[in-house]
Amino acid sequence: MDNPQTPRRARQLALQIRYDCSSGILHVWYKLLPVPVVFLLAAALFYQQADHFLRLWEIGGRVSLADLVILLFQGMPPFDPSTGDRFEIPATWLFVNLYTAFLIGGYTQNDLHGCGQMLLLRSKRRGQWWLGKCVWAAALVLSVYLLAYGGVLLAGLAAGALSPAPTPALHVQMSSIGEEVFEGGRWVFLVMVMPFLTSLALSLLQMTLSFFLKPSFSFIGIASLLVVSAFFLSPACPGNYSMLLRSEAVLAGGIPLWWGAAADLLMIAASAAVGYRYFRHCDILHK
Amino acid sequence: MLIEINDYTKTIHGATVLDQISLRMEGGKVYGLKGPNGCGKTMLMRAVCGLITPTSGSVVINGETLGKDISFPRSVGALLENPAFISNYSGFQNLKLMASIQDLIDDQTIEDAIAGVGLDPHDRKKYRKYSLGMKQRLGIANAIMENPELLILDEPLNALDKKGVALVHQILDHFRAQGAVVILACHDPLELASLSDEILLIENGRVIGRETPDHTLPAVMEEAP
Repeated sequence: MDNPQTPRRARQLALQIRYDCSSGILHVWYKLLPVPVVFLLAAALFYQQADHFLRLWEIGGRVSLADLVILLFQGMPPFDPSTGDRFEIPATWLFVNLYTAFLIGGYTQNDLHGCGQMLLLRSKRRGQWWLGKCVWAAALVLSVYLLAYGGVLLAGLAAGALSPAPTPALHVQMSSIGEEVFEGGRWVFLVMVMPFLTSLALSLLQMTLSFFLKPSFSFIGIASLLVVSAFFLSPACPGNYSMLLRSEAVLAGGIPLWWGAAADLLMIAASAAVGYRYFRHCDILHK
Repeated sequence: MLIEINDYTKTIHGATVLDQISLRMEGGKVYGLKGPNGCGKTMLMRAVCGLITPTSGSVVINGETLGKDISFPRSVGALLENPAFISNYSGFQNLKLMASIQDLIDDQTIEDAIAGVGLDPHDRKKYRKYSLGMKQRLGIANAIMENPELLILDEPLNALDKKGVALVHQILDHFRAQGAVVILACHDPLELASLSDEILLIENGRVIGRETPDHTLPAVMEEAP
């Protein structure tokens, strides 16, 4: 028999999600502005670099939009201090992940002690509040990445680099990426889907951690995890999952694709579940 | 409306913030909570709202136990902490958002609630430009607009002028007449006395006595059946 409460619950859930996306993204749109700006500037720099190497190595063709995306989101090769090489900060990778963590920040806790508490007393469903936050986190991460791509697109428009097809020879020379990565569009999954998935997993982890730690400490925890991931090539360091240059598709002994995807999905599910279970019974005290 | 608090104890990080509280609160009365800062007034309000769970004991509202039969009271309006709304919305837009969750009232009722606290329901000023007094009034409007059976007001007179205080008196009279249970805390003892039908004296998380506006009752703990 259909539960007569179901349409009402669905409507309330939709309202909760709409509220979170409005107050947590649309109403704070100015906080997202740095993302397309940074990626526009970074894309312009990378375009210059890539264009120089195209000519230098007489590869032919033009730098494409896909080339810019790959260069910006590929991460960095594993760091080996024994070679004497300097540690080169993967600036765009670090920026997109750290800034996302910053945006995730204290939203859930602030909401719980503000408007969200009043909504909670009306909806009377703790699970719904948490689910709204999880959907908000996914929407926020997606917004960040779409805005980043938007910045890259603007740079591509300015430079006439609009082709969606990558230039494999360029990346073989620049980053030692094998041509097989570009077969069948595999690079799209490695460069676009995995970074988004990893960012989402870290965001949900951060949100769940903020139930147990102050939001600032949760941010520091995630930031530390990212920095450690930059330094160490290890399946235990989630930041590695989002770096093409550390994937086994590119690097012998690199992170298996299935491992990164499974770990991300597990982290997403576990964070959501732990947060749900905890919030169902936790005390909502004064801020 | 009947609220029964049965031997309610709450411990947080080893500290007992509510200690074996037993109360019976009937509809049609305003219960004032009186006590020093940190004595447990707000904590008791949170307990009745379902925002905290007991270490032992229970809160039963109209026969339903919080945390067991229901997570939150079925009909509650609350002003706890400082009011917080969406800063880019007007007062009406904020309350419309709140009202949309339960979908119990129409726009006219929302406007009446806003007007009832002395604000202009057609004012398009954004919430972030409200004064403290206006924010407080909107918080009260939010708590009362759906005509709840349980009304909880923590320091409702903060930042209100004389007119605002008079409006709060009228609002409480209305809810008293409706048979609601009203629980409020107020740091001004004279105002608390004038607003309340019964005052509960709280110290160190325990109810140590009761007062009526005319006389003080002995410190007898009333046990719920």
